[in-house]
Amino acid sequence: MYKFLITALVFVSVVAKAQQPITFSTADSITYQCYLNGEWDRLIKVGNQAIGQNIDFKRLRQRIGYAYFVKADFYTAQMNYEKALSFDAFDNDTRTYLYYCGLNTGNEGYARFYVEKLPKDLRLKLKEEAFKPVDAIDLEFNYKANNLISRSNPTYIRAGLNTQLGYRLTLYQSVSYYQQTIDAALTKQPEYYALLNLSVTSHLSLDAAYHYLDVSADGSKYPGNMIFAAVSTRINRYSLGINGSIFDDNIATYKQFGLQAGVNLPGKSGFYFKSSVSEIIGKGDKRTIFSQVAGARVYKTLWAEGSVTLGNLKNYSDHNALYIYNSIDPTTFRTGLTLFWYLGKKVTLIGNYNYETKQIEISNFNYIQHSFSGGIRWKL
Amino acid sequence: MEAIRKNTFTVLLVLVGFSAFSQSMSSLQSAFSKSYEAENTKNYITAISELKSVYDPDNYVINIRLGWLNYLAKQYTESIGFYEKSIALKPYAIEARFGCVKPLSAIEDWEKVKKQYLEILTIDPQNTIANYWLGVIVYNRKDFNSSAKYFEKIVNLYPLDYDSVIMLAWSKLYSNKPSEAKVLFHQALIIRPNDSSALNGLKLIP
Repeated sequence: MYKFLITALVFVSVVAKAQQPITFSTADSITYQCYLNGEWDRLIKVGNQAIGQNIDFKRLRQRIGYAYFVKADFYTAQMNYEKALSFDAFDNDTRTYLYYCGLNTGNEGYARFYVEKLPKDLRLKLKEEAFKPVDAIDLEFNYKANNLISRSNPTYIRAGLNTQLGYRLTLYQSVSYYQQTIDAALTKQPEYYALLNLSVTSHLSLDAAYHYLDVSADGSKYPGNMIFAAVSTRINRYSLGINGSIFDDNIATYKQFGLQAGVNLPGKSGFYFKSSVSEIIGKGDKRTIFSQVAGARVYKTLWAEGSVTLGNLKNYSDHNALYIYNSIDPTTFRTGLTLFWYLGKKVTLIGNYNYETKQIEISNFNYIQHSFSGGIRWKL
Repeated sequence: MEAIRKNTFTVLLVLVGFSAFSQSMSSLQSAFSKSYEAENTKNYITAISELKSVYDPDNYVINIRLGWLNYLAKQYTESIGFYEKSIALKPYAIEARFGCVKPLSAIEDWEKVKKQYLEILTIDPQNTIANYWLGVIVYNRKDFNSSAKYFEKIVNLYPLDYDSVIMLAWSKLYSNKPSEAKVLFHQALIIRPNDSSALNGLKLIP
């Protein structure tokens, strides 16, 4: 009985101690000591306890943000640094770490939005100039294999160049070439693509693109033009966007409207999901296309991304209208896996396999195509 | 007879009301007195408790004093809350806004500090303290044209105020007005001979 009472008393006192209200001074001094000693978990615990008791200040948020940053939880770090910025919009430490958070979450527009606000000497130190004519280049090669006699195996090659026109404005240009023989007629398709991206705020960006396709089949020309616009927002782990495009292939005009949503889950694996739904209207036809992407880090610098796309993809465009699926045989189902291997800070190798179901429209005959891609992106 | 009864009742009511008012004033004065004693001995928690025993959310004086005592006790969030209540009760009183600036500065919420100074200047545009500190905030943010405007107001009112003259001189220098800056650095040297800041400023002007 006594033992029970003693245990109960100890338990009550422990609970009482744990629930002891924290003061500004204790929150400030403990988190500062934790910061100096590198006790990140304790810093986060005490910091969050203080915030729970309505004790919130710039240094506290900066310290918690830094603790999460060291633990590589860049989204939570970003959230805390953004709160620190609401106390002092001109703090250069906060801005610098928001820049790094942007880089580490793959949100370069966000990073450059904050780097613009840093003093000139710091921008130079970070090697972030306003105008960079050659910011990044990328190359891509794709080979598709099918078993049909009437269709050759198509090939696609593409080169891209990214230019920083300013801290918040980028221009991406790409040239590509697609080739396939269909029923002895050679289809050749050189393309040009340009995309302007403007970061209106740290969380809101606008995209506008133009895509030209110089299609020729058996000597006859069918030039295609697409214009595209999108508005997207990224608030911490969540992203949301709407887009629309108009495509004229010299025979008919197609309009596409799309909605996109994504989420990055907490944790070191960095699981992320992106969904999009698009509606294509044209040539008396109305089709819905659904796409789902799920990705995660599989090993240190290696990320894998699985995807599935449902619906008839005739004249469908994705990746901000970089790819237009205008093949004579529309894809009716597609699923695949992409691997991203980050070699240091500058080079990314990309490998992709897609399983595609395609349809010959006249006969409604379905066939299977295997698609293999390889690419490299080099940030200069 | 009926009239006498009514009058007597009214007089009694007034007397009871007056007595209650006197008692409440007396307990308020006593609580304030005890809170001053506790503050003098740096016993801020006791000082706060004394006032909380007579707390009235609609009383400006209690709220502003609790704002101050909580600031001294480093209870900054509570302090800001009491100052905000005081501001709501007397929106044209600038003392509560100046008070509020202290805990806001302690937690480095410079956006709200700036907002309070701007509110003070809306009420009292010539206020030298608000003009000076607002000038310092925007100067630290390298907005030298704006800081010059705030410091200039003070220099017009108090041409011999060294702090404002020297800050105005540096603001003019960094906003590419070296000739105006030169005059002001010389003025600073008249107020404070051999002043190192003014001499350093003059060295930067060709």
